[in-house]
Amino acid sequence: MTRKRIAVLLAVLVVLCGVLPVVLLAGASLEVLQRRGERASKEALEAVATQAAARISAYVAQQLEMLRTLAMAVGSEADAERRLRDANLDAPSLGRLRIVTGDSPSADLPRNLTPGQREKALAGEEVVSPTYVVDLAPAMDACVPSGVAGRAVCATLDLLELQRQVQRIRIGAQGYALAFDRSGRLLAAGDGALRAAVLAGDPIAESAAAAGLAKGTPAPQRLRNREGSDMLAGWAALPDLGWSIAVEQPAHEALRGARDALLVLGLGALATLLLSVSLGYVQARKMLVALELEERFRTAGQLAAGITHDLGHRLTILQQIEQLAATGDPDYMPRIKDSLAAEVSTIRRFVADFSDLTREADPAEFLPLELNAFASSVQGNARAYAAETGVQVEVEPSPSEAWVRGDRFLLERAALNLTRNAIEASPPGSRVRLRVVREGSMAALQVEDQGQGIAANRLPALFESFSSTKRTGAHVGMGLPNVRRIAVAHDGTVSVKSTVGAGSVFTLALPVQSSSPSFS
Amino acid sequence: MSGRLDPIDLKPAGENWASRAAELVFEPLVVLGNAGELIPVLAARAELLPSRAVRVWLRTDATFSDNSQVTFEDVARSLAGHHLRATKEDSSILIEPDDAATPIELQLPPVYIHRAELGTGGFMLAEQDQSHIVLRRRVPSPGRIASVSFIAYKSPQEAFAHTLKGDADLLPDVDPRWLEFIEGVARLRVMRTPSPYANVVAFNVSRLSREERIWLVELFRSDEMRKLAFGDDCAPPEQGPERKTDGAGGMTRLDVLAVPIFERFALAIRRTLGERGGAVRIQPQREFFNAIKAREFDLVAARPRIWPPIMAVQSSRTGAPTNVLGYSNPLVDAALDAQNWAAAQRALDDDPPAAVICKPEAIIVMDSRIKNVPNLRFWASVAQWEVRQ
Repeated sequence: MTRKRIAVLLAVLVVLCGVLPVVLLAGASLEVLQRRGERASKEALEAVATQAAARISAYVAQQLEMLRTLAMAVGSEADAERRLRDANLDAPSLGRLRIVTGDSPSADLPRNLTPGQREKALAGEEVVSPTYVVDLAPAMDACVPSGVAGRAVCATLDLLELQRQVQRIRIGAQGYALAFDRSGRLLAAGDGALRAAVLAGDPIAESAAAAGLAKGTPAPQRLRNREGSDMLAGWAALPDLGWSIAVEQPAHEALRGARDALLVLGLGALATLLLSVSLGYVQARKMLVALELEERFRTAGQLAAGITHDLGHRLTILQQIEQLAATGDPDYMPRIKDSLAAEVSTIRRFVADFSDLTREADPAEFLPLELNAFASSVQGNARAYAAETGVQVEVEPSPSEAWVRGDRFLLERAALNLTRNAIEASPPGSRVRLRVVREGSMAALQVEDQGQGIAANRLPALFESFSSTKRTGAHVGMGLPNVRRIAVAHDGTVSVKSTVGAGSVFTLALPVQSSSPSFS
Repeated sequence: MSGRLDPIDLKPAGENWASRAAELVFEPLVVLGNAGELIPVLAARAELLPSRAVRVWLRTDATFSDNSQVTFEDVARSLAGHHLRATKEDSSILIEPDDAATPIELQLPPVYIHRAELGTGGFMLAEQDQSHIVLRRRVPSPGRIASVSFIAYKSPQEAFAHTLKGDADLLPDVDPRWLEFIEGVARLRVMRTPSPYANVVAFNVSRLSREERIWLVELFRSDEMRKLAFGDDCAPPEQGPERKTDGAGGMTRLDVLAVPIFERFALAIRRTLGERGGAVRIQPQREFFNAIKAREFDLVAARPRIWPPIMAVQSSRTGAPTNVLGYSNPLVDAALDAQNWAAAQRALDDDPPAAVICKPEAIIVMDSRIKNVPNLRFWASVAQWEVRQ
């Protein structure tokens, strides 16, 4: 595992353990914030709608009060008709004012009062018609007592002012108000695009909700308008007039505050996360450098100890040979010759072990390798050494071909290392078996000996560097760690099973190549 | 627009929509300017001669919609139907009226030059029926109006609603009260142009003496009355210096006659009259005109055409067809006979048949993309309008 990868893993660990809970907590808080923001917006819109409804109610009440006052002031006068018409100049919102009696021609009667209402008006009761639209503006017929029996003062109240009030309501940049009559007909619209519906009487998306509200059914606080935009809405009803007021604002605008806070906090959390990861990564790399330095010193110490021990041992032997040679006795010459050859061989192995460590595996240069043939090759290379120790090396091939890819030199070094170890561990006359097996997607070369086995407590650290306790011959403990390095470089593994007194089985497993390669 | 859409024809410019469509298809030789001057249209140049004849030079690039050249014969034929005689000169055309009593400045501008149904305007008639007239541009021009459809709706309200809805791009003669509906509608904009009409109080000259009328003219200068009647949507006229009169001395109560749309105007007149204010009689159109003809009124709230001024003073000539109030003033007649419009106007001011209260603006609602629209000769300028893409 590279230093960089370790640093990344450590940083991720920091994120998962330290920052993630904070981020989750922040996310939950933001969700709460957003919901509260939406609720607050809806409440604000409803408050505006209620306020508008109150103003409209007050305006209509004021108009009716003005009509009553006028009726009481001039309704019983002889020139009441003239004075009422004159009053129109000062109170245009009262529309056309006139005296209505039982003899009034039908053209003079308020057109939207029912016959029953007209009778009540002449009997001295105050009556008002439902709202209707005339000359583009909402209007309402109203009759109040004149103070003279059989005579009422009637007016067509011009409610244009109400339309203005609704049109002037602005919520943010895109919010507006709508007013509906009892049937859901749009009477006034703050949204210019909806005004044609006011004039033409066309239903709009909110009409059904408005008609429902007039009957007591609660209206939705979130809806889609004519253009399909997601809107937040506040509603208010005017039971006397039968009007409904809706104040709407696009959800994206109404919730902009919460969304902005969400964005800022989210960015803050992300920045914190990135900072934590970066700091973790940098700190982890620093720590790893320090650890690696420390590890190198320790390794260098272990290497030095091993080299000192092994070369010291070899030096002692060479000194003894030198002393033997100094005697000048020709009888010692064969012995001196054999001893020098043995020492040269030992030192060559020693150098070869170190040489293995310098070679890196490069997957781009891997070549196909058939493990049965490979095992036979290893057997051939180990035969001479095995013969010296009286051990027999056998190959037990797999029933079918087992193709892998790899650096043949390194794999051979690894396999020979395991085989030589097995030979060294085996008593004379015993056998070392090179077995090729396939298990799923892996093919393995197993090296089995019939030696004394390895104590269970030594197994976990067996593939770690410099853990060898063998100090006979050239053993600085680099062999098995190097085997593991080679296995990992080939995306493979090396493992061991051992029974004290019965022997060990080392398994070098490599990924199988799906089919036999073609060579060109 | 609202109301009936007559077939487009070659009658002198009238008040109906077909005549506005005709302005896009046909062109006159000249039009009348504010000061009574002749402004060339199809003519390259026009001269008013001391003999009250007009000499014109035709534009060399003047062609009909079939791209044929406009000839002297086309001009002579077109003018002949309007009692105007054309005589060919070297490079010009001399035009003389058969009717010497009516100034040629009034007779010549309404006459379209045509060859059968072909006109020289920027558009040509594509189709028409009772509900619409479609005109197509003669020569396509990118960024300009390619075709014009005049659509007739049942009522002004319906026309306004359809314009708001986007079914129409332009609506003329909009009630100022409706402008509030346009607020916040980005697609539309409002254009105000000078109206050729004025809101006036006309006098029954047979019942009211010159002094009484002058007294009334001074009384009606009141801003309060104008605002009571029309709010801020109607500008006061240019007024001369105030005149002191005691014309109200023997005046009795004055009745005010008006059509229903002027009820408020009539009420404001009565209030301004104070104790001299009599009855307000609101009459339907037909009864209203019958009362005028029978001179059964004291004061009338009305909206006559006052532009061009030369035309307005002509309406005060004794016995003129447009002189519906029966006004007669020898000084005015003499000034008109002498074709001295300024003197005629002075004589009218000195013996007024009416008091001008205010001049309303013509309000047009149009698509915001239309630009380069002049105030004058609005309809005739459609070919020059530009459309922002």
